[in-house]
Amino acid sequence: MNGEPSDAQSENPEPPPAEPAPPQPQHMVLCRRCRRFSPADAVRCLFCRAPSRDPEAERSAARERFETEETGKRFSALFWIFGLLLAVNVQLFWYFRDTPDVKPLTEPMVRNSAMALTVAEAVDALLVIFAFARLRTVIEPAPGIGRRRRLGWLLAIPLLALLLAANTGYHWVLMTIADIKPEVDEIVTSGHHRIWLLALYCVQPAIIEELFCRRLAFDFFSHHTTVGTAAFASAAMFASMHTGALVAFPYFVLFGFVMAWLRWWSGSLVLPMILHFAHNFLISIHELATT
Amino acid sequence: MNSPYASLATSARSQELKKARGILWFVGIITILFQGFLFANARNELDEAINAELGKNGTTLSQVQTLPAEARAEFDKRYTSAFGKVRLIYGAGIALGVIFVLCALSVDKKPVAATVTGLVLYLGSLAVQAAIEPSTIVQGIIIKILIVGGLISSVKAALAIEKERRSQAAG
Repeated sequence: MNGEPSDAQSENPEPPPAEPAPPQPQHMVLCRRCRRFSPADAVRCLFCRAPSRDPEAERSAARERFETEETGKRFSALFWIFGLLLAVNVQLFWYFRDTPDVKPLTEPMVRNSAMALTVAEAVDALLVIFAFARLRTVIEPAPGIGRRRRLGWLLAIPLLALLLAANTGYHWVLMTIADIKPEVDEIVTSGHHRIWLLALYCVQPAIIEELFCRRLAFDFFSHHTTVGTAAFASAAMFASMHTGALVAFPYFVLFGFVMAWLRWWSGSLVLPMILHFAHNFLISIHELATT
Repeated sequence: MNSPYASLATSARSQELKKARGILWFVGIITILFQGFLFANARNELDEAINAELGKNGTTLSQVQTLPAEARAEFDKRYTSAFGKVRLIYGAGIALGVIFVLCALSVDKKPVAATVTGLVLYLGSLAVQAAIEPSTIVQGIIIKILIVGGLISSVKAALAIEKERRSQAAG
């Protein structure tokens, strides 16, 4: 065998080195009509002017279109719930506008007001729970949430103190500029049904508003934009929901912004809920104490 | 993002943002002018309302103002407080208009924040107007629907634009 290297070579000739494959156009598309390549971003074939068709681009466009439509649907759902919450607020406003302006409020008047508040808050709660049940699977928390859990819990109390100070300062400035005295909440300070009223002022908003603004709105926006912008957008929604106190819009934006960041840092709704409850409770207690 | 479809979509979204900017400028300037007029006219409006109330008892504001200072001390105190409240409400209205203008100015930089804030603030202000005066719900309802519809489509476009920017930034 060794003596016939030439025969072996002739029987098993080494395959000739493969010719380098023609360069595959990376960003080119084949024209269906003239079978020549044109750049993928050209709207028409450069040779025969036939409309270009890039399957990958078409798939990508279809995927993008689907995502855009889904985003639009989710935003529309959030927007409708937001609109209905505003409508409930307006209805409540009309109820209180039509009640006689008698001071001090009697027990039946306070009971009727508390009942109206309870009904409005129950409707709000049903709307938000319905939205949560429908949207929680499609609006998931954005990746990256909850990475600074310890920081969130550590900052909670100092931030609450700062918010309360900002609230007091903001209203003091407003009252000073307008030269008016702050008005107390006649219903809370009437002395009737205190526990019921405190529950209405502190428990329901802490759960329902946080569920809507921080779980649904903030998580939705944080998928599409930066955390800061998502926090601001959800805070703007939160502030606009407080129809009865639109003058305090800047303060509500600040409050919503801080709560959204705490939600982001802690990764949980529990912390914003607790702080929201504590905030409303301390303000109500302060109002009761000063009267 | 170098396909013709992507560039067409981006162009359409940019048009939506331009529309949002136009709407926010329009709403902002109208709000500032209207609320500014009301702010400047606050004293006359309050005097008319007080005259109407006093008229039920057969007196007028000018008659009350001729009373000695001690006799009308309580009246003056309430008048000052009411005047302050009216100015606060109309001042807040002017501030609202300024926020709309700020949103219009920041549409390109922060599309989502600007359009969402503009939309929810506009709806919030409509709700406040409706709460104070229910008849305002139907006043100019077609323009209101057009503004809300335009802002909703702008928010959707802004969400897509910011998502695109983020994915481009991430490489």
